[in-house]
Amino acid sequence: MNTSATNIPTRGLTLAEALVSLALVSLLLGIVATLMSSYAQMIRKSNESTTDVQPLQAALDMISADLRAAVIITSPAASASPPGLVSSDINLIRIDPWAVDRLPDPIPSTLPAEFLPHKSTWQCHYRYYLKPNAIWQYSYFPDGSVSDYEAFTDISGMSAQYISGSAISLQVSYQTVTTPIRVVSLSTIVRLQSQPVLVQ
Amino acid sequence: MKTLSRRRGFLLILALFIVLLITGFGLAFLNTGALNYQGAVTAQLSQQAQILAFAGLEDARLKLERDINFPPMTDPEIKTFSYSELVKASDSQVIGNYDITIDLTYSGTPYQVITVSSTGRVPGLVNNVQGEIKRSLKAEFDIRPLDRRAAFSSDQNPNLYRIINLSEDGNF
Repeated sequence: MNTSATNIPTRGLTLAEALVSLALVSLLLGIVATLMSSYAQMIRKSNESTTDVQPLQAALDMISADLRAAVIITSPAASASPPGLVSSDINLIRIDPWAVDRLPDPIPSTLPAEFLPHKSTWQCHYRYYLKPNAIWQYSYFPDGSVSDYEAFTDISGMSAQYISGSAISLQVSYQTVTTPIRVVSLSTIVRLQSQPVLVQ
Repeated sequence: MKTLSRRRGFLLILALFIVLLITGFGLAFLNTGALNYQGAVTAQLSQQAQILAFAGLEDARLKLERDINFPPMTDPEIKTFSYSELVKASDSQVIGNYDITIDLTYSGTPYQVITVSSTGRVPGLVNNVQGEIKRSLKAEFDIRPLDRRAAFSSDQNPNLYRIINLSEDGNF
């Protein structure tokens, strides 16, 4: 019965040792919890910023692309001496990207007498306008079809302004409704690419 | 007695468990931060690819406008010509490249339009795998020397070698 196990000292922890261990573990956990809490707060703020910026970035990308492709821009109004007036609506006309008869593939054996690249039957009208907390897009297509839908949510401000004869400053913003109020704003300068439509 | 001896190592196990827990949390947080960072980098590279695509369009436009032998077409049956150019920063570091395809299908009368597709490419991570971030543009250049309007048909075309229609990415 005199096994090796019985020879091992079996003394447990004293109360002081246990308390010191507990204090050290508590201190360590406290430090880690504080660090993790501040890091989590930072990540949460970063995520909020990303979430706020994403719809703004998407709106800027899409509206900029349409402005670059526009052959007529009625709003914002061009000015003889830019900068022009600031507009909260954007009205433009561009060539319908889905007008397959415009440059037919294959080319028909009977060619048309003339080709007017900006003919009104290939033009579609886009209007971007603000509603509470969203940007809506109204579209009017050459076949008479109309669509009006909420293009981007979580956007509370939009403005556009000619800053030169061929460049428009475009700004979109978002303001939180709850306190603390935060305002996130993105802006870009759109260099117009397509030549304006000639009166045909 | 054996039972008591087995209980002696429990503090070590507890310590290891706590270290494991903290490491797990740390890795999870680091991963979240890395994902956010990657998203921001991808957005920046996407803008860079778009700028390269516009640079490609302008390069093609200038070549078309200034070089009467461009694009060098030897076979009249072939209507497209493609080229690619590497874009470097002033310190010779590669930024990316643009691929250009010039389509002469509609260059004859009555259309007299050249379509140019430009794709900007920037090396970057796509779904955590090294790849390319691409943005594409398609433009129509007017090559009719005279004004298309009947009332001004003897005048020079004010849109000569200018973009008269532009589409971006999925819009063509």
